[in-house]
Amino acid sequence: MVECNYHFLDTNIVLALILPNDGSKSESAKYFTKSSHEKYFSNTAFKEAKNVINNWRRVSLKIIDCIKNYLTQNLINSQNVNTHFRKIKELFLKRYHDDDFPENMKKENFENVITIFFNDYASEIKQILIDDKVSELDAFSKDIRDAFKQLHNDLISFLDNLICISFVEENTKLKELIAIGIHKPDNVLINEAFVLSSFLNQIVGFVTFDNGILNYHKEIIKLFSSKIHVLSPIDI
Amino acid sequence: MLEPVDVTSKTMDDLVKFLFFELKENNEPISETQMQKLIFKIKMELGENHELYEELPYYWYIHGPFSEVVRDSFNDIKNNFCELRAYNKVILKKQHDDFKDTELVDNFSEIVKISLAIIHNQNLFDNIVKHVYDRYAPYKVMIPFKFEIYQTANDNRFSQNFDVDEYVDIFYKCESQLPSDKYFVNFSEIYSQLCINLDLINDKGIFDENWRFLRNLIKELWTTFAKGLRVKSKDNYYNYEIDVWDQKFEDNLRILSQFVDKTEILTNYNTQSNNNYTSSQKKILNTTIGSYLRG
Repeated sequence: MVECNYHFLDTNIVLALILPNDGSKSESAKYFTKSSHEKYFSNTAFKEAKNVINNWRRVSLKIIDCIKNYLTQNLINSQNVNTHFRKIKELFLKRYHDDDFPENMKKENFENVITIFFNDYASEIKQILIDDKVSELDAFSKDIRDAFKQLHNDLISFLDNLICISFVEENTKLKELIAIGIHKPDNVLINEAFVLSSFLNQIVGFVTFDNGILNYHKEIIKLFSSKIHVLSPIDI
Repeated sequence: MLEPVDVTSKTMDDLVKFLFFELKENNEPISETQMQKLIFKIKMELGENHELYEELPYYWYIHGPFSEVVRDSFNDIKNNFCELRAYNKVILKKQHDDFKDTELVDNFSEIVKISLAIIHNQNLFDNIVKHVYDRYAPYKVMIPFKFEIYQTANDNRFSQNFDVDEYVDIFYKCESQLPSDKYFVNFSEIYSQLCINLDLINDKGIFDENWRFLRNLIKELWTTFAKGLRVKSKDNYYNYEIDVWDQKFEDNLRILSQFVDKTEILTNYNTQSNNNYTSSQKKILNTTIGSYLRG
């Protein structure tokens, strides 16, 4: 493996580290502990990280609002709760049926998380539906707001550990990246890593958990004449 | 470029004349805003299948349903036959019997019935703006967004005049009701960033001293939303405007985003360890963002 002394971090590396008890966190934490490479993070990645946090807060609050509306219009008891629970999930997903990028996310990924949400909270939601307790939904909303606010604060605080830089928009290889299957915002971040590489006159490692980028390692090396290498923190 | 559908302004002129006649009978002055909403209400009562529905063309905008055809007809009558009675409200100087005897009234008696029912219902007439929002707004978020978020920013020079904690709560409430329509997704991202920034500015205790900047930004937030709204919620008559309106919405989003970025400077971030998360908070973050990162 080529040694890169300069690392450009993808959004998911930082989010995985600051997320409490996340499955990827140990890998991300190990990377930050053992790697002494110079680490760069861009304003674009920072904005993307904030968008991920904001978008999931908004979606979570929308789900609660959807449940609340449903609850005010339907009589639910322990006999029919499973049917109503399933209908709420279907109703929520139906809002996005003609959208390939719901809430600016890949559809498959978005729908997968919504399914996990309804699975993880199945018993709590069903109990609220049976008890007809809107006040518990309000408390849930408040908890969501506080959790995401804390995460937002932790993101900002963590940036002190990185070299955070702002790039003038350069469209050097954006179209070529799209051509090999890497779309916005990933192509913008990889392009920024290349601008950094040119500025430092060094090989830069683009560190990411995203298999959608890691799988294109060879194509990216070729496109950037070996100036950019895509690395997984697990392999560092 | 799409051409406007063939709509004669005569229908609207006749309706405005008839309404001015009946309002004079009741000694009731009217503003343009009220007239806009009154005719919109008549249109909605006539229903989509009525042959006049398309001849009363509207789009939703900053202050609710708006029709350029109503504005033109209203101004013609106002400038030639009316006197100012109260702030922004006008009434016919003298009664004009010919305003009542129009082709429209002769051919569509239901218009007379619907119009009189609204004008004679004082409570409905006085609250017609709020009524059309409550009853017909294309998205339910528009009601708290317009009447609580926008109105508070528009009406208050000082934030000491209202409960800021409650105001931030309403921001989150509206966030939970933002349209899921993909046309508004970039607006939603900007909205959400402003929402968290306002919460943090409030936590820092500097909401009051920055209110003059924030209130203009919040008014711009609603105006930008309205620019997108008119693209999505309009009658076919206005199809010829759609490219220009769409571009104006995009332009406004860009400017709004830059303004929201400026609020970042006002936010104060306190370093706190992850130990401060409760177990329920850890769960929600891992269910959503954690699952999202795992793909």
